[in-house]
Amino acid sequence: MNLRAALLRPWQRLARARWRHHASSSPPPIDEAGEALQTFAKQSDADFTALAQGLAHLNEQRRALRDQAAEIAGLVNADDETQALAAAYSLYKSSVDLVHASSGIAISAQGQLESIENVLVAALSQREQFDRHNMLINLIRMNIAMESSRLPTDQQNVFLNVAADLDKIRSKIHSCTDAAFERIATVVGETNTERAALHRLDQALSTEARQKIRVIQKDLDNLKATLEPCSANARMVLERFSQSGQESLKIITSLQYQDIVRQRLEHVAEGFADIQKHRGSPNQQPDWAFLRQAALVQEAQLQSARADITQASATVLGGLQSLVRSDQETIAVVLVMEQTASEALGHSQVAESFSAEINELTSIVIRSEEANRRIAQLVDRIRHVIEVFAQEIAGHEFDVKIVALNAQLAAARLPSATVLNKLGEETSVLSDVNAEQTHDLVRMLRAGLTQLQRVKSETEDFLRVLTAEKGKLERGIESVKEKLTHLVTRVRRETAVVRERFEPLCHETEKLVRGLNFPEIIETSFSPAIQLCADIAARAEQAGAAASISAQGAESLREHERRYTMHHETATHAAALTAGVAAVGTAATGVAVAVAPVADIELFDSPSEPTPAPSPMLLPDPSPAKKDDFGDGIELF
Amino acid sequence: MKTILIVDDFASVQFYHQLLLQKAGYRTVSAANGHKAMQVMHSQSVDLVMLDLLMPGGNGREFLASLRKQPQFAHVPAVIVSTETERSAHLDAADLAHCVVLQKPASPADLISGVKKLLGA
Repeated sequence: MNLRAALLRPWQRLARARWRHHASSSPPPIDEAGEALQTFAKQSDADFTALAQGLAHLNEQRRALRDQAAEIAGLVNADDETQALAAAYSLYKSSVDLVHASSGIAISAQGQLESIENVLVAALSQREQFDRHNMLINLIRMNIAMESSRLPTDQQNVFLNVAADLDKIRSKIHSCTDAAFERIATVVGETNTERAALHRLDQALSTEARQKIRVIQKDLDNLKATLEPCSANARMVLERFSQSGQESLKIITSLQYQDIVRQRLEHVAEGFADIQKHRGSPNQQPDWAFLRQAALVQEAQLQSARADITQASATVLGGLQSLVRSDQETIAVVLVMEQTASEALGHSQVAESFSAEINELTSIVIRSEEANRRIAQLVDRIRHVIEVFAQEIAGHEFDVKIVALNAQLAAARLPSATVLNKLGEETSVLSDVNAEQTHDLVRMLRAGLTQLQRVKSETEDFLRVLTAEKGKLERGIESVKEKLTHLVTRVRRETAVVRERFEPLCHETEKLVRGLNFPEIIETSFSPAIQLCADIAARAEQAGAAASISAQGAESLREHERRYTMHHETATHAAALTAGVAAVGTAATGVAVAVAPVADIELFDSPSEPTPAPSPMLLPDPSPAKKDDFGDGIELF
Repeated sequence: MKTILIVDDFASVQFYHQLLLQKAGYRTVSAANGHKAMQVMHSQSVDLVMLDLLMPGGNGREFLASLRKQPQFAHVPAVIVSTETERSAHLDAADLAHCVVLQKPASPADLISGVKKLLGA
């Protein structure tokens, strides 16, 4: 800001000139006053433009920081599925689902064991029947042996041979079925043991799963709680940046008023030039009537312009000071945000421990799968035992039939073999009954095995689904681990970057405020000119200025008046910028707030009917103000 | 035979519930989300719903609320099986009528007991 230095010299010159002419009969010199006002206009134009550009630059930086804060807020948003925390919760849910579903493995394994048990128990229930048959065969054998003693010696051998065959086959059947049923009884015991073990494992895994789930849930909640202050601070920073954007826009809006004041000062300067023309010469008396009126008009305009620029300057200064305060508060929040992120996430192994916990949880599913595999192997072994058993039982049916046939053949060779024949028939009937029972048992065993196969297939389908989901979850663990690592790193880095970039920004704003001394400059610039006008009017009064002025003079003042009527433009200007601020205010409620580009705001509407300004001379003039008169204006961007 | 609609986005959970319920003597139908579940409700008679709350594509909470608004389904009982039972607290009390809430992982015994409690069997 070099405004003050630039302005003091012309005004000091003017003050000295005014003092020199104070006691003379001619009006005070005004050419220098006009020049000084124009200098003020130009300098203030440059200074306000520089200020506006500085603010716009700071706004750009604030916008970038606000975007960064929005990113931090987004990163720690627990509801956004694409973000780490939400993804971690989602993975947690999937792992719990998987563990929950793994109970189905136990159910399925139990189902297989139940099926096989049903078969085995059914088989065992037939054992008594088979024992009875064995006893009956033995009875027939004893009868044949007893009958042989009643026969002649040469025929006894036939009976004894049949009895011996029967005993042999009975003994074979007995030992074989006994062993088979013993094997069945053993595997029944094994399945019982395995079922109990499976139940215990299921209970243990379930308890372990619940404990692990509680740990993960707690860790996730802790992480969420840790990130919440970061999120809240990021949102607060975001909100503050949005507010400071609005604050800046209000300042820039106020800066625009300087443009109007500058134009008014240009008109005042022209008015001064007109006064200069009427101040007379060595050969001509000053036109005191015109000078009085013109001086009053310029004084009123200067007062009004000073009030406008004073108000605008106060708004600018107040706004900047408020911006500085807001920045100081924001930097405090940013520091807290950085500290929180650093403390909470600095030494945290969140990603590592989370993935380890989920892996441990899913290991429960793996153990369930292993248990199921063990059951499947057991079931396969038992299945083989049952198949062998069925084959053996079926084989005995044939043996008993052979013995019955042999008895009948032997009887046929004897002259009188009624008894043996009868016994052979009994053996044959027994063989048929035995065959039927064997068929039933084998049919039942096969049906049981088919049922078992169905349960097994169902289990395999279930395991396929579970394995696929487990694989997906395992891939998810890696992805979430990466996201969490990224989250921790980014939150820490981004918060540090926001702080590092925001600190110089605050200093720049403070520097802008320190460079401002508007009230002093305005006072120094306007007061002498106003005083000059008052002096001219006073001198005209003393010189007995006429109440009315010439037609030419009146026309000249009317011309000035046309230029001065800028209230309409001022109002239009204010309305347009207020609309701009309101638009930014609305946008500020969202996360991504864009400061409305000031350049887009139409500051002045098309040439319109001016509203007459309050003036000591009411000189109505309907002609519109020329747009060319407004000058260059403040170039904000 | 009573029909139970299983609503869960996790295929293995669907499978598990199906296995368990069929073993307990129930007929089952399955749906992967709330929208599909509602289609099933309108296409066949369902005696009970076994419902997960957190699902993509129409979650359980919305499904239950929608169910309760339809007079023909307002009294259909539901066993809510969810990862986070506290979320069920967000359900309206009216929606929670005729409901049993279980937290995953739920034991087979608890699931069957919940079903039996609601079906009165």
